[in-house]
Amino acid sequence: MAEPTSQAAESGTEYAVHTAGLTKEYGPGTGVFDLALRIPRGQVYGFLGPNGSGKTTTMRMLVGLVRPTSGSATVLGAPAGSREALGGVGALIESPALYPHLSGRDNLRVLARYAGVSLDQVDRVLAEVDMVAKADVPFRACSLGMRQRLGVAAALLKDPALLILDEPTNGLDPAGVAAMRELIGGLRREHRTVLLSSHLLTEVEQLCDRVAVIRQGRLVAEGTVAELRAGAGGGGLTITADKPERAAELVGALPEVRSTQVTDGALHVQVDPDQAAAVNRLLVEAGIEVSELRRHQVSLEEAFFELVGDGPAADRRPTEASGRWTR
Amino acid sequence: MDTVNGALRAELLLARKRPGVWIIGSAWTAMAVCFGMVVPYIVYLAIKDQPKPSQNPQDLLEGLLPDRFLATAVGLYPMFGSALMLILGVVFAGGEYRWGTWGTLLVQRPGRGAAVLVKALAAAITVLLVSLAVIAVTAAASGIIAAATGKAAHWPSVGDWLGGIGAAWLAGLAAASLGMLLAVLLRATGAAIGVGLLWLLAVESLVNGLGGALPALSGVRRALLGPNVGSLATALDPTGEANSSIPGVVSVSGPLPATLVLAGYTALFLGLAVWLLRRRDIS
Repeated sequence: MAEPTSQAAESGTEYAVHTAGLTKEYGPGTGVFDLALRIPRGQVYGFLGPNGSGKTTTMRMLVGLVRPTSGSATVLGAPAGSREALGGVGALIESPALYPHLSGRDNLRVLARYAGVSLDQVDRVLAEVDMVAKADVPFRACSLGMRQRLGVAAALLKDPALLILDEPTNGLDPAGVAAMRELIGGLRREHRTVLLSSHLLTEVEQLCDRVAVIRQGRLVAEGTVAELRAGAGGGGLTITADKPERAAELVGALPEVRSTQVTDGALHVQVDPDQAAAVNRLLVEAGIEVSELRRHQVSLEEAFFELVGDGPAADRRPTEASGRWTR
Repeated sequence: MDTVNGALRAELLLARKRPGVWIIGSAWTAMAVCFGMVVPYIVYLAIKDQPKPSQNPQDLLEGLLPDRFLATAVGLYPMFGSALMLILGVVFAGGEYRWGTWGTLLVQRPGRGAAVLVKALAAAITVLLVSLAVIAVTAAASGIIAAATGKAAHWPSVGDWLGGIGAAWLAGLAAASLGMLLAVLLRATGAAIGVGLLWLLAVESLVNGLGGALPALSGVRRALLGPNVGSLATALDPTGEANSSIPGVVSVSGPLPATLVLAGYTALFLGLAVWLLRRRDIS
C-alpha cells in the first residue's frame, strides 16, 4: 500500500485508526508502550499478540474506555473515545458483557436506544448473526457461542465504519467460526474497516490484509501476511538424500541459503522454496541421490511464534513497523 | 436531546425488567403499610383497653388517621425507606460493574456524564413511582383504619398531598443518589450497600440519637439526611410536632432548609459520581 503523505494522512483521516506514541502504563513493564498503528480504511487488520501483550488495553484506548498515559489516537478522523469517533465504531472487547436478566433482543434494544439508532437495526443484526430464533432467551441462559453472537450483533448495531473485534470466534462451533469468517469477509467487501484480534491464526491469515504483532506492550512487527511470512524466513526445503552432511555442505554454500540443519537424516534448508529446482540440480550434479524434496511455506503461526516466542528466533525483531526484520 | 431521550427509555426498559427494582419497590411499599399502619393499629388494639398503657392509645390512633397519614408515611423514610431507596440507587449504577456492562454501554457513545445522569433520571422516575405507591397504600390503610374505628376521615388538601409525595420522593432520591455514588466509588454492589446501610442506619442514627443530648452534635445533625427527612415529615403533620411513635423522626429545621439540604445532597452525590466515572478507566 502506498504511504499517504498528504495532510489528511498526517491528521489520521486517511486511516481508520492512527496512533502515535500511544502509551498506557500500569506499572514497570506492564501496559502498552509507544504504539504506532496505522490501519488503512476498508481493510481487515489483524492484531496479534500473546495473552497479556496489551491488545485489549489498546482496543480499550481506541474506544475511550481507558485513558492513555501519553500519546494520541485518532479513530475515523476524530479523537479516540469522542462522541464523533464512537458514532462510527462498533466493538466487542474481551467477552460480551450484556444484562443477564434481559433477553438478547431486549439487550440490543437497550443498546440501540443508547446509540440513538432505529430499533429496526435490532432485527437486522440478529439476523446477521443467526440469532433470530433464540433472540428471546435471557442472556444468562445463553451458551458461550450465543453470547458471542450477541456481542457481535451489539457491535454491528450502529452499522459501523470501524468494527473492533476481540476474539470474536471465542466459544463458537465450527459452523459459527465459518459464519464469522463470512461476516468479516462481507464487511471487507463493503469497504468497512475491521480490527480483528484472534488467536486463530489460520483465520487471521485468511481474512486479514495487514497484521500487527505486539509483545509485552510493544509493536514488534507490522505488514501484510506475506511480509510477515517472509520476515520469518519465508519457508524452506526438506531434503532426503543419501549423503545429508555432504548435501548440507554443498547447499549451504549457495548465497540464497540462510541456514542448513540435518535432523534425523533429513536436511532442512532455509531458503526461498522457489529455489527447489536449483538446489535439486546442484545435488544431482554432485552425485548425491535425492529421494525426496519437499517445499515448506512458513505459516503466519510460525511467523508469530518467531516473533513472540522465547526460542532461538526470539532475538529477531523488525527494525520498525514495516514488516522488515533483522537478525 | 434525542440521545438523552433514547438513553432514558433504555434505562427505563432496564429498570422495568430488573427483578431487583420490583423487589425493592414492593418490599418498601409493603413495609411502609406494615410498619406505618398495620403494626401501630395492632398495638392500638392491644393497648386501648389496658388500664395503664405504656403509650396513649388515642395518640397512636390519631397518627394513623387520614389527616396525619402523610406525616406518618414520610416519617418512615429516615429509618426504613431511605435504606431501601439507597439499595435501589446501588442497583441502578452498581449492576454495570457487576456485569461489566459499563464498557458495552459507553461504546454506544452516550458520554460518561450523560450516562450517569440518565441513570439518575431513571432512578428518580422509579423513586417517584415507588413514592406514589407508598403514599397510595398508606392512604388506603389510613382510610380503612378510620372507617374501622368510626373516626371521621379528614383528608389533607391537594397541596399537602403534593407536598407529601414530593417529600417522600426527595427523601428517596437523596438516598438513591447516595447509593449511586457509593456504587461508582466502590465499583461494586455488595460493598456499596454495606457501606450505605452502615452510614444510614448506624452512623446517622448514632449521631441523631446523641445529638439530642449533646448540643455540640446538633449542628452535625442538621447536616444529616435522616433528620432533614424527619423535618419534612414533621412539617406535614398538622400538629407541627414530630411523630414520636415512629423511630428516628426528629425535626431539626423547617421544610425549606430541609428541602434545600436534601436537594443539595442529591446534586452533590450525582456530581461526584459523574466526576469519578469520568476520571477513571473502565476495565
